[in-house]
Parts: sequence; C-alpha cells; structure tokens
Amino acid sequence: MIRTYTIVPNDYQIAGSISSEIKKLIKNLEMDSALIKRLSIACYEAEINMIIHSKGGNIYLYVDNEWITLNFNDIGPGIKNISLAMEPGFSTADQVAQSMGFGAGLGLCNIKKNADMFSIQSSPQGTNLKIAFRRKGEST
Amino acid sequence: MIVKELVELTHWKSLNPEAIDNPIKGVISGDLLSYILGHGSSNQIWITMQTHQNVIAIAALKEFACVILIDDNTVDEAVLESAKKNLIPVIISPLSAFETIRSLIQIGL
Repeated sequence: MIRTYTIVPNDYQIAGSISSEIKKLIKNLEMDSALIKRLSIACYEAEINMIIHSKGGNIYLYVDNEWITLNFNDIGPGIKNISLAMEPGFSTADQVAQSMGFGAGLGLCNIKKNADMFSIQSSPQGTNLKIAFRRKGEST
Repeated sequence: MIVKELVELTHWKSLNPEAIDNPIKGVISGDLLSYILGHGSSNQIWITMQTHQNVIAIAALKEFACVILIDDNTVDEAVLESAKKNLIPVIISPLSAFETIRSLIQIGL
C-alpha cells in the first residue's frame, strides 16, 4: 500500500488531519494497539513540524509485510543544526505556534523515541525525515 | 467513572452531550501539545486552556475520555464539529486548572 499526502505550510486548522487518516488506515490493518499509538504520536509530531517550519511538502506512507514506513519530504528551508534540533527543549517555532502549545522542542525527540527506525537529512533545499515501524513482534 | 457521571457531579457544561459515555482512567493537565502527546494515555481526562482545532486532533489520536477547558474557555463551531465527529466530549469548567483538578479529586478521581 502506498499513499501520498500534501502539507500546506502554516495551515493549523487542518493540522493533524493527515495523522488521523493514517491512524485509521493502520487500524484497519489490525495492528497492535501499542504500535498504532507509537505511530500516531510520531506521525502527528512530524506533520506538525512540517506545518510549522517548512515551505510545504509531501508525506508518503508505505506498507509492506514487515514495515510501515513514513517519509516526510519538504522543500525547505531546512534545519540548520540537526543535533541541536534533536535536543529536548530546543525550538525555533514562532510566537504564533508557541501560543497554540506547539514548539515545546520535544517533537523530534518524541518521533525518535516512538519509531523503530529513524533517519533525517536536511539542506536548505529540504528536509527528509524517514521513520519506520516493524509490523510484528510487539504485544499490546 | 464515565464522563456523564463527571458532568453530573461537577455541573460543568458539556458542549456535546451526545458523546459522554467514555470511561475515565486518570487525568492529565497541560498546554504543551508535545508533552500531552508524549505523556498522555487513552481514556484520560485532558485539562487545558488551549481551544483550537489541534486539541481535538490530539484528543482523538490519544483516545482521551474527554477534554476539559478551564476558566470558562470555549471552542468555536468548527472545533465543536470536529469534537462531535471524533466523539471527543468537550466540557467547560469555570475554574482555574488548580481548582478544576481539586474538584476532580473531590469527586473521587
């Protein structure tokens, strides 16, 4: 199964709707509830990051027999210092995002903590975040 | 306890009373969304002052029992529609976060 979703920057009104749709799709695959929870948290955080920080991009969902993989590809402006961005509490979110409760500096940490595989590359042309979840071997 | 009993005991206003049969298993309070995502568990009550669309999105993702908005805060029509669609009860407390939590403890939560 392959699905593609488009992210519109700064559109807080529909933020979370893609994660919600992906959660429903994964639930239909009758996955463990613990896996669904981990995937939902990571997916939501990554979706919000794209909305807050990027100029837009796409989310790609791939499902095969072993893995559920999510690719978050945006078109910039990129993360200047990935090591710093991974530190809990570090945030570059603007005041609007922070007033809504975003930008706590926990997003990337939450994503990494909840995924079975995590990789991130970034340049001014865009950021590619790839996370994956093993479909088997987890109890509820 | 279920959400319906919570509403009856506190007399707080439920904005979508058609969705108040969810069982309650604990309480979480906070306005930082990543904290709530990282620490919340299903069937908890979420106490917050945030009132925007993402409150419902997170409550649905985390499968919270309900959302309690403090200090008489409320939500707009679009957020309420989303709450109805996602079966997330939204309750309004006239109290501060501290007093809201104290009231929940007093009714046995």
